[in-house]
Amino acid sequence: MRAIVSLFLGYAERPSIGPLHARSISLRRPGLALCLLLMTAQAAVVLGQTSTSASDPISGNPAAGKLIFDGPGKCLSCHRAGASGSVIGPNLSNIGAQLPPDRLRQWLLNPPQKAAPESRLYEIVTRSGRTVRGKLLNQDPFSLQMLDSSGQLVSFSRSQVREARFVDPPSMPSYQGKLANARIDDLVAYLASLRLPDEQ
Amino acid sequence: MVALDATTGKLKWYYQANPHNEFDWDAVQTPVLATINWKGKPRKVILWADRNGFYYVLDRNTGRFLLAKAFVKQTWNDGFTAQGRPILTPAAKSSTTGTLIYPDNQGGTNWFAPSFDPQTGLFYVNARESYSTLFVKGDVKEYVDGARYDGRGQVRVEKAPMVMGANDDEYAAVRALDPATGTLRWQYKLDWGNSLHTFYGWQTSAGAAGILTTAGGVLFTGGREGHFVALDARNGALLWKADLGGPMIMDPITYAVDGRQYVAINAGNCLFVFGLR
Repeated sequence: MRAIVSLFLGYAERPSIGPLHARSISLRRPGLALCLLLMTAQAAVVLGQTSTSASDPISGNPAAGKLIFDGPGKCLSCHRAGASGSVIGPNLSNIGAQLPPDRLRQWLLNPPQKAAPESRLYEIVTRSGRTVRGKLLNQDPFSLQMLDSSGQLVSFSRSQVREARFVDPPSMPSYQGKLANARIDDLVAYLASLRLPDEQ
Repeated sequence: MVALDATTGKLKWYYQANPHNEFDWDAVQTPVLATINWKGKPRKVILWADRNGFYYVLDRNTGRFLLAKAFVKQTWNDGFTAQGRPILTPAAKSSTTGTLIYPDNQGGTNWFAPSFDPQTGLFYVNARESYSTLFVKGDVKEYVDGARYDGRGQVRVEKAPMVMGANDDEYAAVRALDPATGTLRWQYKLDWGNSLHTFYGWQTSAGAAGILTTAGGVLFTGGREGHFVALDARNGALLWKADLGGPMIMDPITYAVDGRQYVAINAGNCLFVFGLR
């Protein structure tokens, strides 16, 4: 069917449907509060304060925790905090507001081996034999959109796709025995500091 | 829903689908009047696909409750009385710790129009498979003149880490139902997942366009992704599509001028009109 299209440009007013969901995307830079927190933490290092017992939930040094997170902990290979990291695993930019410190500690020492359904990766094999793994963003009857493992947006027409399916992500390793208790405390303190500005 | 005498305005009958509704399941859906074969005899009925996820058949003269059948996954209902009053499950109550409910507050369907085609004998609705967790907020808030007031304060709840990624168990689809039983005959999926909800706001996941069926056997509808589609009304096969670049949440309409037929739909902030050359 050939179409005659005539465009009438008008302003469509958004109907008032009800309370907006307060969910918001997490990929925003940490606010001023976080910077001040880190500065305070670094001042604490300079003044020679050390963590107390491992049972004190936020006794660790968040600045030291960030160095582990960004470095030897290899957390950024799966996770994202603020502007850096991978999209493969859960985004931790607001994790300090979402889980209490004892749960954060448990997650580091004994992470669940089976991924939650929302943590699954998506794998597409194209008709030309290319395989792409990443996070499924969207699909409709004619196309699929993903973020690949490097965070690039990729769009596929369904006619290009030979296979498309959810796959389990690699399991998160446990840090029990790999990091000293005091370093775990530092990591917990850093994670507890990851909070986004309050949602409107 | 209410039935009023058109001359006097007097109430003839009413049916309340969601007494003491806590989930924003209002009754702004479009009632469809039809005559269907009801237990071997033609009966004048109202066909109603409700936001609460149930498809209803009521006698349109008396309001008598004839049938209710879920057309999406639902977890709030444990049956109906003979008069049609819903029996709530114990889980169908919001709480301070959050209650998982199917469907979500936008519902199994919403304002966009359904359709009944007397030629195919099918009832069509744009359905949403969805779920959400509903909370009762904290203490009653103090009223401050001039500031937003919604009755109760904020409550911080523990949430799972935020993840990005669409799932495949939340989607919008055209569903064709047998009007006398509510049985699903076919479906055509329009959009999947809620992940873009957070980028563009409620509008993208709240629903699709309404449904227009024509005597030529064509069903027109559209969705969030900007695809305006024409389906075979008998079986849901795709006949034609146009990518309009904006979400469609209004009903397509058809009309004729000087004997020439047009189909119009609003996508995004633009009105598109199609016709045969």
